[in-house]
Amino acid sequence: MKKLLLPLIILGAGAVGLGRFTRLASEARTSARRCEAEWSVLSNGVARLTAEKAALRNEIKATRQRLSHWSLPAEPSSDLVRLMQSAQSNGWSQAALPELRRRLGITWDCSPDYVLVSKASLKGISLNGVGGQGVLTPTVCDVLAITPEERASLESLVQRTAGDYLVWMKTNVTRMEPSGDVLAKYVIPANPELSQRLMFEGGVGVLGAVGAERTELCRNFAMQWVQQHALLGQSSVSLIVRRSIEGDRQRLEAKCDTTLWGGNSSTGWADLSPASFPDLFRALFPGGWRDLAQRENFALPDDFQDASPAQ
Amino acid sequence: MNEHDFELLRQFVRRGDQSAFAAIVRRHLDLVYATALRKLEDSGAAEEVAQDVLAALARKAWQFAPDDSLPAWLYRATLLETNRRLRGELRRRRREQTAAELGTTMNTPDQQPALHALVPLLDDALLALRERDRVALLLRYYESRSLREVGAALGVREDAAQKRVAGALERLAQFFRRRGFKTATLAATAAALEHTAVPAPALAASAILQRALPVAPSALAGLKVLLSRFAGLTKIQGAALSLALAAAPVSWQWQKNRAAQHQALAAQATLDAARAGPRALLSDVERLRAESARLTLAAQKVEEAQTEQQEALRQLDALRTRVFGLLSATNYHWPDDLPFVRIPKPAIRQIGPGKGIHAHGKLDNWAAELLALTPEEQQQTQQSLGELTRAMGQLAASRAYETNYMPQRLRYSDWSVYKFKTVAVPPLGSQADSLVNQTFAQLGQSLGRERAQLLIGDALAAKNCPDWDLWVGGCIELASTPQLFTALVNTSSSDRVAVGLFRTGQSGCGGLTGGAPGKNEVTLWGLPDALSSQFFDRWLNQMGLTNAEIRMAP
Repeated sequence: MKKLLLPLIILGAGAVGLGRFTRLASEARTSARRCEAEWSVLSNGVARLTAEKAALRNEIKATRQRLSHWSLPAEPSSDLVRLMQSAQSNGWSQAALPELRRRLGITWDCSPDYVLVSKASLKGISLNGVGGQGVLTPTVCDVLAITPEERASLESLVQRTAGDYLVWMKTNVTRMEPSGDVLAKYVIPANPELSQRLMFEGGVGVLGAVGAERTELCRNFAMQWVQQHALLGQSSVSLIVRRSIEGDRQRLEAKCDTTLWGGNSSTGWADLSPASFPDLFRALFPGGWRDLAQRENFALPDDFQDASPAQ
Repeated sequence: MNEHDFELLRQFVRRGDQSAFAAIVRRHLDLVYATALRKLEDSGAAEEVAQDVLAALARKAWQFAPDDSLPAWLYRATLLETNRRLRGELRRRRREQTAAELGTTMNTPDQQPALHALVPLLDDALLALRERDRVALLLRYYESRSLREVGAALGVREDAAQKRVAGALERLAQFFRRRGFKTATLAATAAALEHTAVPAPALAASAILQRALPVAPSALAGLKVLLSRFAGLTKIQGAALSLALAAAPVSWQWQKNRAAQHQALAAQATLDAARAGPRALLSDVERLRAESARLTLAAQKVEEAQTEQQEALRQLDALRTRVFGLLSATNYHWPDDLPFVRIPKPAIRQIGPGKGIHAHGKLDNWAAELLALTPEEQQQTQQSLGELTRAMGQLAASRAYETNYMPQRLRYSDWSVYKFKTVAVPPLGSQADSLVNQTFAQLGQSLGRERAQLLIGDALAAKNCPDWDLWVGGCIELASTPQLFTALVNTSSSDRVAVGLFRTGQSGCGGLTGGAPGKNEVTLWGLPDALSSQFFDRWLNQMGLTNAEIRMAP
């Protein structure tokens, strides 16, 4: 059996080597299969990504073509959209109106007879809307599109308000006795309660006649008339006539002081002239300075030019 | 192995040649028989042992290689078989019996008493020898071979065989001498060998052969053939064959392993390359996704913008239709739901857009709207009016002079504490007319005669500008009317400064305006810069005041 030992050893070593190589080959094949499996997964992923890439390219191409075919406005559309949307939510702001005028194409030549004006711009206009005797001026009627019915209603309201104040004013005006160079002095006291009532009733009347928008404009256009009527009692007004001597020349001067909320304003002393007679006092002296001079028994200068109240 | 023995065994193994096996038996039977007889001292038992050993040889004949020693194998097999038989009590009894018989059956010369002592240990001595020495002695003495035959069996020359035999005898003798046999000389040892070399009886040989052959296989087949062939190889041949047998599958498997390793490496390389690919691809896809999302979003925005724009255009068209419908409405009413109203153009003259012109030519928006000025027209108009007021101011300043005259209208006792400055501007004449007419002509070109007339034309014709801005109205009237500009300042008040600016016949501010509390600033608004800087600003500075109108001027 000794002779078999060496062959057995050789064959055993061979078997061991064979086993070793078999195991190594098996491991290598396993590794290769694992790599192949992973590669297969990767290949599937690559195929999926490739398909997705192709699909995305087509999608991008289609979207770009779609975008290129869309005709965008020459000017930024967002401005117009913003303009219209802001008007829907908050109404037309003053800042947006010039742009809206431009887009609407409002020009002087749109009409031979009329011009289109924004309502907001009307607030800046200084207009004497109420004339003598409480009559609305044609201009304010044109501007505010006041119909004949509305006009009649407003004028009635103005005259009634003025009448109420003048009735109260005639009753409560104070005459001061002449003293020294002061030839005449009349004081119309303030009556805030009356003023508040007349203002409120007048506002309600205007609102009912022409609506909220035009009520605010009417208040602006009637402001001069209201001031002429001592703010309907809100302020006290005094009229003073005095005699002054300048050299050897005697002059008659008058001034009208207004006291409102603790502050004073004055027209200053001015020579008597028909135009300088305060309108408020015409309810007491329709003839102006002449009626006043007659009432207070002083003589007007010789060169005093008589004039009608309309002057 | 003797080539002849090996050849005979091969014939017996491969072809079942009994004559070949018989020849082997005849050649080596004496060795087997003599050895068995010497150990068992019983011829019958020796024959049985010889029979068994040769039968074993027949069975194992395929295992022998050319370089195996058949005599050595037979001797060892015989000893093993005899030892097996001699175990136990039987062995002792047989020895006693044999000893008794020896006195009758063996004529032992008296001169050979030492020889008898050596015989029991002879086999131990032979086994103690090296195999080549033992084989030499077995061939020489138990098979009665000549030295030449011994040399041939050992593969050496005759003289070398003789030396081998002699050397083996000497080492055998030494074995005995070491165990106390002083008489164990070479001769005694050789004699012991010769004495124990008993030839097998002829009949015994024949019987043994007949009984051994049946147990031998007739011929070998299948795996045993291969094994016999393998056994028939020398050690080197066997090793080479084994190496070949082992190397073939190992080499084959190595090749497969190598191929598998290559395959694994290739797969790994492919995988590594494949791993790099998706990263770039994924990056591309992500970029394309982002691009697609961006474009989709842009498209959505464009669509929404288009929708919104179309809606806005629709609303604008609807609004335009309604607004322009106002111009042609026969039954016009105040449009509560529209931002525009219509105003008859004659009413514009009554309103007087000229009241919207200010000192530096700035035009109020309401005035611009009344004249339907475009932004460009408004800018151009303001530029022309600004140039007019500036030029008139410079002209007036060049002609103006200070006077200590207090206009009669301003002589109020209440205002006696006021400081005042009056500047007189004489009629500026044709030069002023030229400036005004030039401006009117410019406005006529840019706005058209109708609107230029409404703006300043009517005031030019009337040479009267009630309610107009102080200086702008002054510009219209200065050509033919002398003007006095009087400023009044009251600095006696601790927390405010009262100031007023008046133009002859017209009140610029309707009274005195207050300065800002805590600030030494007053506003002489409506006065041209030239007149202000030449006459009034320095005067104000002397009182520690500043004309803020300068700072507010465009």
